[in-house]
This record gives sequence, structure tokens and C-alpha cells, in this order.
Amino acid sequence: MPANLYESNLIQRCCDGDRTAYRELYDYTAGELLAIAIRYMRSKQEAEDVLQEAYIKIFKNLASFNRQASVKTWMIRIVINTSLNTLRKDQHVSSWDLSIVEDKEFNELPLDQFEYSELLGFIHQLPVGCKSVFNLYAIEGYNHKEIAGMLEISEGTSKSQYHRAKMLLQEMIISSEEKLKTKVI
Amino acid sequence: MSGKYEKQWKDAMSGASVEPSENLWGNIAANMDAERGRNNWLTILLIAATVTVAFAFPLTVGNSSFEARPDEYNELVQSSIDDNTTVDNASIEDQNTIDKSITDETEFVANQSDKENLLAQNNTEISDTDQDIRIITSNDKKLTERTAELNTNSIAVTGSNDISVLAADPYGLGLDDSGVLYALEPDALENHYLLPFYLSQPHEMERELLASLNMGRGSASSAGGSSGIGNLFASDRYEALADFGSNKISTDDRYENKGITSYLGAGIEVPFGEKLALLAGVGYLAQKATGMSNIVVDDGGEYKPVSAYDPIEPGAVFLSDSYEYSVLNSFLNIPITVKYPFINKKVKLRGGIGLSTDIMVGHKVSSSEYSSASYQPKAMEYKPVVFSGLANLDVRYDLSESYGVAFEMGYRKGLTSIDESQQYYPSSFTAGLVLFYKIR
Repeated sequence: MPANLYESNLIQRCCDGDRTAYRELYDYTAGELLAIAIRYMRSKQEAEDVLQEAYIKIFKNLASFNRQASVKTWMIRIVINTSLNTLRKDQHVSSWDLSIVEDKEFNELPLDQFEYSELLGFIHQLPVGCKSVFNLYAIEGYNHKEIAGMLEISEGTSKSQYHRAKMLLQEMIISSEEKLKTKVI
Repeated sequence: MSGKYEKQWKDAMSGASVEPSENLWGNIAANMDAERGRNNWLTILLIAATVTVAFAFPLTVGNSSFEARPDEYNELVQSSIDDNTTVDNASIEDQNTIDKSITDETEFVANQSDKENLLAQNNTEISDTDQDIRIITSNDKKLTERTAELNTNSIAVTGSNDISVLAADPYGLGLDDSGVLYALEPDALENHYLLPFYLSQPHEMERELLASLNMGRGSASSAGGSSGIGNLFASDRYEALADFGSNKISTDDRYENKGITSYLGAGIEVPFGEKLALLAGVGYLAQKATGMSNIVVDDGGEYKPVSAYDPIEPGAVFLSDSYEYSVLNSFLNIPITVKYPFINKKVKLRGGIGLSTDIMVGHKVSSSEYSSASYQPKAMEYKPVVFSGLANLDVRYDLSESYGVAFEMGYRKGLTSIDESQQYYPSSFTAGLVLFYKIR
């Protein structure tokens, strides 16, 4: 069965009140959504708390979901918004480092040399503001105007934070790469 | 825009999956169950609150009432009766005498032919119903027949302008095709209090189901007082004319106390445009009052009560003692309203205008001493269906994502008359509560 047809049937069953369908939808999406939540939060436990809240919102609003769109995209959006709201409530995004960032070219990164968990580790080392903007722009594909709206910051701040995130990641990756080379030698 | 750098990261990070803890689903399911439980309780609490308000509101809003006959008018009528000049049968036939006594009194005097018809009809009717008019003694309620004699029948035509209006107006003393003798003074025909329509609530421009409870006070007759807002405070209806000869037969001694009205409605709100919302619904209005009457009607050997508003029909029996009755008028209301938000914050303020169709579905008079009686609207010269214009203002507060409550004040004005003679346009001022539920 094609994925979108399967999703459509699953949503319909949920809307019909089939409680097993809720569990099926959870099993179908939880792993991917948790991976996304982890990128925004500081730990797996925090990410699971976010996921719990997100799933409750998803199940409550499933009937209003536009069936023409992808349910996964819709669910990802809810998870991201819930993550950002949690960060905002915890005041992790209360202050933004607006220091001037030096404009420099970034070299092509040897990301394929790193495991997923290592890359995730780099992202987690970013300051919260930088991390959110980086996740939203580089991985989720939002533009700076959309990010500014989501994080309630200016578009300039979003660009500044993203630039800073890139710079910090570059340093982490180069440093890690050098350590790797040293070990090999 | 995303470039090569971003694509590298996206490719590296997308598609990842992390196994959730085993208890995560259990927590989600437990939260969902708790949420359902809270919603059920909230629904029960809202229903309970509605029922409570339905009973408590009439007690706290004392003005949600209607009155049939103010005391000052009773005094006026009594005074007029005491001072009146009896016009006997011979006098009635003397047109010159009648002309003078009526035209001297008021600008409301009907024209000559109307008076001739009126008086002739009146005589005829009384003659036809002589055998039906009786008096019941006060002690044992035993009926004592007493014949009404035409040559002693009297009509008060002097004493005050108001009384001359009663005598001169064919509506006040006319007969309809079925032989019903009207004894209603037109300026005070009616003052019942239509409670409006249900309330509306806007919220994030989604469809919502509504339940409302409104209370209020107003006049059903614009002729009862000044126009516009002043009409809200118009004098109430009184009953004065069933005086078939105060000395010879009996006098009408009916009045109605202030009563309570209530309205319960439900509807749906559908947004349209960027800000507007269309509301439609249906509601039930009940107005109940008690009164005193000394008239019953003989319906095939069974005596039934006659309220202060009801016409006196052939077969009416005048009692020497009054009895207490209660009257219940009920209406089906179908309102349509357009709402516009002036303030759309946590507390919302909206104004609305619309139309309402009001259908009279019942008029029932009850007494513990006599059998209940129901009168058809047509027999009372009511139109069974009238249309009203609505204007209202509501303040709403959201209790949760799904439920909210609003307080609404409104004004309604009849666009069509409630009577066949097209003289009386109802109006009312109302206040009420609305509960709403957002459709997901």
C-alpha cells in the first residue's frame, strides 16, 4: 500500500474513533519525530516530554487535519512548534547573542566521515538560540522570515544566529577531524 | 535560500529515527484518557451551569417581566366609570347626542359611519348573548342567571379622553366574523415581552455550536408609548372595556401581574469573509404571569378561565368574585445574525445585526378553580408569525480551547406588526448568557 494511502486510511480510522489506530500512528511516526525533537532539546528525556505533549495535540486535532497534505509534515511541524514553545517557556531562548559575526566562507564539510550521533553531538553543543535557527534553516528548510516568525525574533537576528552556528560547527568539525587524523597517524 | 552546505546537513540528519522509551506511549494514552475525562466533566459542569442560570437569572434580573395593566390606569377606569354618563338605548339611537358626547372628548373619535356600525353591532351582540350572561354569587359560587336588558345597557362616553377612545374605537368594541366581542383598548393592546434570540460568539473564525439563555423586558406594542428606546418603558397593556353596563350586568375586573420571561436557544456560527460571522439558530421563548379575573367562559358546560388579554366571547360568565389564574405564552424564534468583532483579544467584544422570525405556538390560561383553556392566536388578533430586527453586543471569554461563555445585551424591534390592523410593532431589550462549543 502506498505510504500516503496508508496514512490516509490510518487518519480515517483515528477519526472514526479506532483506538488501535492511534497506537498504529504512534508506532509509524514516533521514532522519526523523536529524532527531530532531540535535535532541538538538550536530552532524550526532554525530547520525550515534548513528544508526549505533541502527540496529545496531534490526536486532538487530527479531525481538522487537511488530508491533502502529508500527515508526517503536519506532525513534524507540531513537534517543532512544541519544542520551540518548551524552550521559550524554559527561557532557553530568552536572550540572544547579537555579537557581530565575521563573514567568512565555509568550506565543504566532510560530514560523511561522522556518525549521526557525532553530528548530533555537534549540534547539541551549539547555544540554544543558534541550535534552533540552525535546525530550522539548514535541516527543516525554513527561510529566515519564517524562522523569525516562529521564534519571535527579527529576520536579521535569525541570519546572525545561523551564521554563528555555522562558524561554531565548522570549528567543531575541523577540530574533531584533526583529532581523527592524529589518531590514525 | 538553502545551498550546498545546508543540503549536506539535511542529507546527513534526515531519515534518522530514535527508539522511544517503552513508557512513552503509556503516558500519552493516560493523558488522552484524562483529557477526555476533563472534557466530560466540563460538559457536565456547563450544562449544570446553564440549568442553574436558567432558574437563577429570572430571580436576579427583576425587570425581565411583563405587566398587563398598570395601577394608574385601573384608577383611571374606575374614576371614569363612576363619573360616566349613561347612554341608554334611546340615546344611542339619537345620533346627535352621540356625536356630541364623543367628538367633544377626543381626536381619536371614529367617523360617523363607524360609530353607527359600532353601536349597532354592540346592541346586536348584547341582544344575542343576553341569555349567556350570568352572575355568580360570591358565597356559594352558584350561578344566578340574570338577563341583560338592552334598554339599560350603558357605554361610558364621557369622563375622560381615554374612555371616549374606548367607546369610539371600533377595535375596542368591535365584533369579528365569529361574533367575538372585542373589548380591547388599542393603545394598550399588548405588552408582552419577547425575549430574543440566542447569542453568538466568534472565536478564531471556526464553526461553533451555541446554546443561549436570554432574559429581558420590552413592549410588544410601539403604540403603547413613545417610539424607539422610549418604547421599552411604555405603559403596559390594560383591559378595560368589557363594561356592558356597570350597574345592570357586571364589570370586567381583570388584571395581570408582572411575570417572568425566559428564552432558551441553540444555533451554529459560520465565519465568512475575513472577520464576519453568520449565526443562525432556533429558540423557545416562554412568558408566564399570574393575574386575577372575574370572567370565565362556558365551554359546553365546563367553565374555563379568561385572562386579562383574552377576548370576551359569547358564553362569558361574570363572577362576583375574582379568581387567580396563570398565563403562559410561548413562541418559536428563528434568528439570523451577522457579527463583527470590535475587540478580538482574550476578552472579545462583538456587535451584531440580524433578523428574527417569531412564531406564536401557544397561549394557555390555567386556574386551580377552573379547567385550563388555550386560545388560538387568530382569535386574539395576533399574527401567528412576525419578523423583528435585531442589534446586539456581546462580551466573550474562552474557558478552554473548545468551550467559552459570553454575555450579550440586545435590542429587537418588530419590522412587521403583531396585529392584523398593523398598528403594533414589538420591541424588547434583553440580556443573556451564551455557551459555545467549537466544532473541530
